[in-house]
Amino acid sequence: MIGEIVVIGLGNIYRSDDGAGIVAAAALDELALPGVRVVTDIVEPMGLLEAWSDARLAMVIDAAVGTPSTPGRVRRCGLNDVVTADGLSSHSVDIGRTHALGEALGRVPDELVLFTVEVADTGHGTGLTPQVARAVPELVDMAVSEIKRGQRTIGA
Amino acid sequence: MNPATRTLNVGTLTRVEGEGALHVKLKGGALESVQLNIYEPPRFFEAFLRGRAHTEPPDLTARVCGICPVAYQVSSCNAIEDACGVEVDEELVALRRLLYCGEWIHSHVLHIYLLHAPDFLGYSDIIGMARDHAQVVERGLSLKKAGNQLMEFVGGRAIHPINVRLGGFYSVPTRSEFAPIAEQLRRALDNALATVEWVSRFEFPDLELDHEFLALAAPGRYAIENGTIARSAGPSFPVADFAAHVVESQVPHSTALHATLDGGRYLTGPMARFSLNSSSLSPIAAQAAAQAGLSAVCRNPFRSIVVRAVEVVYAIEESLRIIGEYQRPARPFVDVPARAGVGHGVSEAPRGLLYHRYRIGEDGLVSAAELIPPTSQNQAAIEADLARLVSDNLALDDAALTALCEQLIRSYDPCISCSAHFLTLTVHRK
Repeated sequence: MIGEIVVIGLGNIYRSDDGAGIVAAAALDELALPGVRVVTDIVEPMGLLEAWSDARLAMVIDAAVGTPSTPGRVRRCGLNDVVTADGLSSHSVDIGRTHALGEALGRVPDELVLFTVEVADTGHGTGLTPQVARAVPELVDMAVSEIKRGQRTIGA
Repeated sequence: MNPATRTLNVGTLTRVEGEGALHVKLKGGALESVQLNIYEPPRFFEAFLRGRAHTEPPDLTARVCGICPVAYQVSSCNAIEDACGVEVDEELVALRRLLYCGEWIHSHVLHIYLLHAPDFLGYSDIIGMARDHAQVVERGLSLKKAGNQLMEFVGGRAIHPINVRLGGFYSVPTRSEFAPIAEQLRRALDNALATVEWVSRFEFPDLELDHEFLALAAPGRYAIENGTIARSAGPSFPVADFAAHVVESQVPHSTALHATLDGGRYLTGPMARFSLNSSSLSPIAAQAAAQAGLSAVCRNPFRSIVVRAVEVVYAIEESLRIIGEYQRPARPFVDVPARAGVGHGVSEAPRGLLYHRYRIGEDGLVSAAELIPPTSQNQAAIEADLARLVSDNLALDDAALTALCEQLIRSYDPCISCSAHFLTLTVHRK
């Protein structure tokens, strides 16, 4: 559906806090907001292009490593705020370079917003650490506000 | 610094699967050493498979690689079914082959378009190439998607399929459920043929290799999901004799083992497969190969991109054939009760022959496992080709020579993640 809002949760739920983006996106999905599509099964960069092509607003929620680290800290940021690796391999394609590929192909959303939550532990195992789990409602609230703002913009 | 001494270092190879580096030393105008340095940490798969139930290796070893998990699933199923003395129904083998075709399509197209074509067209990556050739890249993405969706349909998901089990599948589709996939594959065939034509117009540096080729062969078809072992300079041998011919050894500069075939270096992968089996290609794939200028044997590694494109055509045609003949199997899997013994399994991963061997104990648990992936088999050949390429192109400046070396390495589509599973760990205790 052209013009829709898509929320994309990235991460690996089998690596503890790395799954925070997926947990938050799944919580948003449960709210069943009209006009909002939630995607949590991205496993490769091309999946990201597929998910956000034609979207009016795309929100990507992902776990992040901060330096110095403040586990559970949530941030709203743009593409310029995330580190983009040099070169490209199939094992390490980041959001920045995927977006650049999308731009070259005309397959990017009109607007892209990133939400990150800083991790405490990305070791093996399911479930978030308490610090990161406590941040999920805040993350969801921020995303909902962003969705409402996006819907007003689309409506206008 | 002695001006006659040149050192070319690529600290992190890009557009390959996994983590590796290249070090070339030249002294006095001559090549001193070439090292393909695989520093991806070893992952100890063979060790942690010990003690696991005989049913587990297909799921566990699939995790070796996100690009070619089906290869690991099929080679492990073949090996354990061999150990347990079970033969899988013909229709289930066909479904395995179909799933494998999906993996070939997706993996080869990923390599052709995203990893290797930028080298031939003068781009540092797919992003620059997409800016100038958006339609071509879209064609590649569409083709790759067809492979992914075929894997998802048969395997339950595109990466690390969950529908594969010993003896067959957890569930099998009905004939009518194939209709949308078949339609997508018919469209993909046109894109695949256009891909062969596109890559055949690339400019290929001169290099003829002389390695022995090793690949699977199967009567009347291009071997994918099983076969006997064929070679270019010796008689074929049964899978059970693999370890008697192929010997692995450790080299200091790599966490992946090097392998030799009867003491010599050899090559497995698309060039070996094509050169040993080109007469078994389907008519459309054979015609595409001929039109692309491939003769029956291909010995220029830079042309392997054309061979991969032809194999994509074949995999799509073969998928359509299997779907066309498909009747829902009477049972989704054959029971594979544990039996003590040793089993050997092979299949043709996109990057070449993948060998698995398991010993099953009286308790039904795996007591020994051995996995020999194509990239570790090819390492010695890759290094030999690099040495030859550097020696032939000493007049190039460092940047051009380095770029040419990287292009050659990518010709082999090395899967470094797959190859770095092996380390002999010795602990001295006092």
